[in-house]
Amino acid sequence: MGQDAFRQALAGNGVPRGGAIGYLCSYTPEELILAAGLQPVRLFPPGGPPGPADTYLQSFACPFARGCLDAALRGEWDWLAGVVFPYTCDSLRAVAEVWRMYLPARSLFFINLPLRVEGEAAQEYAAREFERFRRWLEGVAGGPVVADAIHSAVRLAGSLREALAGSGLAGRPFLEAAMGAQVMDRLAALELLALPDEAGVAGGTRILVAGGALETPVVLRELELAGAAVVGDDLCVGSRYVALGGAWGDVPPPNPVAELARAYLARLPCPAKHPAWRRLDALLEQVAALRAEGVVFLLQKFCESHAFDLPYLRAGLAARQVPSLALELEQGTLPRGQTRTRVEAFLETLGGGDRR
Amino acid sequence: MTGRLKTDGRLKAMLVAHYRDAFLARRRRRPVAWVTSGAPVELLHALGILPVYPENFAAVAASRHLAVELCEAAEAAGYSPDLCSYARTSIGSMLTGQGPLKGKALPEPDLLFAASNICGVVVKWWEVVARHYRVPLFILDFPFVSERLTAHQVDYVRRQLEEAIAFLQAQTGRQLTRGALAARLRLSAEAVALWNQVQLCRRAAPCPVGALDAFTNLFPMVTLRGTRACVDYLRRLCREVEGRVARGEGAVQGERYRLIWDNIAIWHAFGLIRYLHSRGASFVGETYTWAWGEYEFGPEDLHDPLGSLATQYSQVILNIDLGRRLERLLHMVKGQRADGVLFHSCRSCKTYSLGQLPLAREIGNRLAVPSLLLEADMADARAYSEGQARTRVDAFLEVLDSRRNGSCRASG
Repeated sequence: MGQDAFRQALAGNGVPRGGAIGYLCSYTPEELILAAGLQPVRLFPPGGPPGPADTYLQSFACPFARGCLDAALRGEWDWLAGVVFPYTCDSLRAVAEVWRMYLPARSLFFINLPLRVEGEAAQEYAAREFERFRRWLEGVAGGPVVADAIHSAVRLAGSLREALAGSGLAGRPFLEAAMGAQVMDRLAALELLALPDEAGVAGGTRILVAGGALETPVVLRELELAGAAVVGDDLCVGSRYVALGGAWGDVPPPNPVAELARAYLARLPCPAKHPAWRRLDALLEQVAALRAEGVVFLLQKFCESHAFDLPYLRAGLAARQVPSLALELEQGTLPRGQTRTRVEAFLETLGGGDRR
Repeated sequence: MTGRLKTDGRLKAMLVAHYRDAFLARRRRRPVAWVTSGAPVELLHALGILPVYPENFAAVAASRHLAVELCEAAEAAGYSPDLCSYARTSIGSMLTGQGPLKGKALPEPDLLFAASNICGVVVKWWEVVARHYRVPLFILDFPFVSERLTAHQVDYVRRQLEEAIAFLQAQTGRQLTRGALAARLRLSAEAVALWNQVQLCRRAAPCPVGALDAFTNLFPMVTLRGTRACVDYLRRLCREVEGRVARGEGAVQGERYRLIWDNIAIWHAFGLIRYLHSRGASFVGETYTWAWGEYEFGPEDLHDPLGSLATQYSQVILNIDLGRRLERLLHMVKGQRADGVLFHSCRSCKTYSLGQLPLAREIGNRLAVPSLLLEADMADARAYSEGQARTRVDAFLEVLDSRRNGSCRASG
């Protein structure tokens, strides 16, 4: 299925050197970027030790956010025509602010998303923000972003998401494909997904991973080496990106931008926008559907939205006899030896073994 | 040294009365709402709802050195030590029933009201409280003001305010009248005007009010804004401060350095401020205490109270972009004739703290005013070392001295 191509895309090879818009967070309506004739490129910071961002952000900023600023300050994303920050958390908001002040040459757009996602007022407000974003894209692209183009883009992105959901991939191969697809030309990604499947779910104890953003899917390797078979995820770089509902038919809706805003607000619950009980319901559904034996939370250090939900989610899972483990990511990685020991011990409590 | 303000003596009584009212509210059939510090509290007062502030409660716990124990209780329940220490203090107190109010926790809420204009954290924190007490929660979402406040942002907040009124009325069975809301806005406006008058008096040299008084006198502005008691107290405070200015009295003996404080106070370490005072450093302003002077409701606002609430509460210091925050800080440094800025880099409060490094850099570049970034936490004393803080303060004051001596030589 072209796993190598997805990995290469994630490694930064084959990325277009013009006409691309970088974005952070899966609440960015990539369909509007596509409709503008530009390539949406989700930004994953390269990880590694702290860099120049240290001069602008204290050590208690989430490492994902710091990593983004590091990459920008090092000029690693200078080839982008613009960058989009949707409002999801206070740390990324701070990065956007520093970016605006010290990297003025890079065109930046802040989609001021509502914090509430339910109710008519939030829907209308979000639609107006998406409309503002559409107008900004017109300025970057140098031409209008019309309803037909949005319709085509929604169908392309929808096809890609369907292909990912129906790929039969799981765990690391799935994340490689999903994250790779988010940085590639979307048509090329769709073609890769049409190739015969090479990867299956490896043997091991069936685990669901949950959390927010990851810098790289390689981090799942630590779980696999300890004996876990990652059968699914509740990550914003994986299944939460894929599961955007509202596939459109042949006829575009009367107000495509508003329709798109509705779809984004109704997507799988993210802790930055939804209460924990909604996330627990979604997690339990996934655990049951995938016959997962346990859940491993992969959380960015200092990520408050996830950290607030964690005790409730773990208690809710435990009440239904689903054990869980929480691991903290720093600079995109998990501490090696310690993680292996903890995951092995966790898997042993589940019964362990090479079960499918 | 003139010492602490005399009006301070009344503060303790006001604090006790406020919390006594909260404990007696149920018996008096008065609904209690737990609210965030950035909530448009005038609405609640106009409906006869008693607002109670978990943030203030956490600050009281920290000042009485009880917060660490409560944070640890929250951590034992699975809440990360990296989470906001106000939230951990509040959650720990909720879980244990312990707290600084004669050993007790806050009285249980009848309803919850959280506004996102101070951070996204409060929304998650209030969700925890709602689950614990099984009480209804209203979240008032204030979109971030990036560059300028737009008409559709105001419209969105206004519509939510209408929803909030319907929610509060449904929960309490009370009806909001236009007259009651206008009366509360007038009281808020009076309080804000008096508070700003006190802050302006701090331009005087020597500065009549130090940081200890400013931080503690914030209590009525935060918790009683929109009440007659708040206005009465501030009028007394204003008189006393103006008297000090007229007599040339300063809060610090031999005022040598004029500093601005950025961020929430380190409630458990007022000793650091006393130490600074002892070294001749006077605080002539705090961005935190000034933030409560930003709700300026004029007579024209009474024609469209919800639009005014939406506009005013959207543009609080923690909900505006870094460029505007810098403008406010530059204005404050110049207006108060400050020699330096002390940034409390508070690991609990990301919205306040992330952005301080660029602010410090710009203050230096544009005004040649030096700054000190001090790592600490508003409530969790484990993230603070008094010895290290004093060493860094000493070094900072030496920098200020050397600059002063340098400029004397240059001008001489």
